[in-house]
Amino acid sequence: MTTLPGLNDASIEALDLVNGLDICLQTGFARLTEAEKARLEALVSAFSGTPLAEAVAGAVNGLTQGRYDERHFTVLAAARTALLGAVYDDLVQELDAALSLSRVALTEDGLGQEPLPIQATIRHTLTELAITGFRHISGDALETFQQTLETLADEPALIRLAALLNGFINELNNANPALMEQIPIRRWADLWSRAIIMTLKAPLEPAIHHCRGELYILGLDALRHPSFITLNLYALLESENKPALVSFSLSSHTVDSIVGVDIWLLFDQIPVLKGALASGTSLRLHDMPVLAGGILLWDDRRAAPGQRHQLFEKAAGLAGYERIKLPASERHPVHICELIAFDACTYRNGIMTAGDLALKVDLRRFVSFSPLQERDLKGMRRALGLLRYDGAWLFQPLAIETVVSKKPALLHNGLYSLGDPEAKKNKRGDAVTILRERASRLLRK
Amino acid sequence: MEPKFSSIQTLIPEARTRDLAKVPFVEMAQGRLQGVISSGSDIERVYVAFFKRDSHNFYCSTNNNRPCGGLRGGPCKHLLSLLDEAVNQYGAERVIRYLNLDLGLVSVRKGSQLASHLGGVQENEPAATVFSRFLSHLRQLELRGSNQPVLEMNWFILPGGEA
Repeated sequence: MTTLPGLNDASIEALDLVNGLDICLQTGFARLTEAEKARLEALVSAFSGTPLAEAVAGAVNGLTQGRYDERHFTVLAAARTALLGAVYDDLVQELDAALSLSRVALTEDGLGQEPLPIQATIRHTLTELAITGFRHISGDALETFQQTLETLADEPALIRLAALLNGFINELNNANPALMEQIPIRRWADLWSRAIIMTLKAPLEPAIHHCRGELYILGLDALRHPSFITLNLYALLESENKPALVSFSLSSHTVDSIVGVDIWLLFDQIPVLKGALASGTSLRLHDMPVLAGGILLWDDRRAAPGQRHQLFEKAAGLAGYERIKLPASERHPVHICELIAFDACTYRNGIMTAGDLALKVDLRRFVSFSPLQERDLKGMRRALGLLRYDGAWLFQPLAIETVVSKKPALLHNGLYSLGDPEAKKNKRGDAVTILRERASRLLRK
Repeated sequence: MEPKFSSIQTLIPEARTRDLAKVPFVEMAQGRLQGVISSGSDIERVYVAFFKRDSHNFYCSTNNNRPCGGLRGGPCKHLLSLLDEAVNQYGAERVIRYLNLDLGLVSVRKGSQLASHLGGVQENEPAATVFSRFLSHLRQLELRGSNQPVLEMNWFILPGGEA
């Protein structure tokens, strides 16, 4: 049995530097011990000879001497991003070599505009958080953040920052860091530094092209925290050009009590897409907006129902399609999600085996609106899903072929997009309808 | 399964499916188990109710701050519904932990069973903040979504499967 290769020495070293920085964020820069300062100082030699050398030396020098300038924290966030970007590069390279994948790198958005005032406010609050330390966060500090988040909601251009911060602040609110045995420092430091980076420039209008062709949806993944949900779809686009792997996202604000198939009701602007997911048909696209890297900007009016297709037939040869590599400022192992299909695979005790490759299945990622659950994996013969990395390589199934009453059956995350055909209807209404009714009565008084 | 340094270590499980008709809003926040209960008789009226986390003191009033007529020294039916739905949404274990209850081996099938273990008394305290939190909760659903990639959501998973 083989598994995918792990981190090289340079990446292990990079993560050690990241851990040193994260420990400082946990303690708070106002409270650093000598040992913690030493961990921070290790950054200076690690970055010497790089474009960040001077800035990192200045930031470490300033912060260890109690000068808590905002720009020092910005430099630390940039340094941390660069370290994790290098780990991403390493992992992606190993993956490509092991699975013979080819990849094209996306370029940076270019120089952005001056940040909006609210971005500056957020950066200031995040700086305060770092000075205080995750361990010592107070309810008052979070209250300030809560108000900022409500203002942020009125700024649609900053929806990515809003999604990130809402999830982060909600988590801090629910945690009791002073009493926690182990603070999730890697995670919170990730969220903190990504948020800082996102406050540095106003978002740019991206360059948009248009495309047409027959679209075959291969997989759907859902990511959510209590107040926001994103569906990521992976598909094959066959046009006059050669077929290509494309992806697109649909996101909605939500609340914690909307779970299960009710989640689909949040997405009422995409009837054509939902129909295709439920029935396993392709979609004919015309003039669909598309960004660099084959990222569609979904507009349901530019899609029409196509023909039925066999998902695993379309997924054959998936490894041969070109993949994307994120722009340098966005690279981080958490963003690795490589669509891959396996024939003749089996599942036992959390491990999927295909040929001589064995991979852990990420059991944390089954979603409540999907018929595909862990119990179904035992009977699977073919699987399509995402390869991810979180301390180890993990496989996240998005669709499987299994056997039900001796016949092959397809289970995938999008199957119940029009509802669960076997579920009993709640006579008093679904969660989304009830909450919208309450909003119409109580909000507009 | 959880590596020591994980980027997606999950702290909060997804809420459970429940019927929202009677109690559209429940939360454990601001040191209270609190929520909003729709009136059975008047579609325009809602009740705002809470149990305090530490003292277990409770109160129930309309959104216009009129005390609930059902409070006669003990929790009214709205407060009992609040307990039922809190357990439906979060599971008994999380609610019991939040309220610092020690029930020993008593098994909880219905949240309202918890009422007899709560020693608080009525504490007339306006609950305007609960109602305004409910309104911002509802406002969430009116915000526009997006068809742009939101890469940052890769940090967020809510284990909500049946596994």
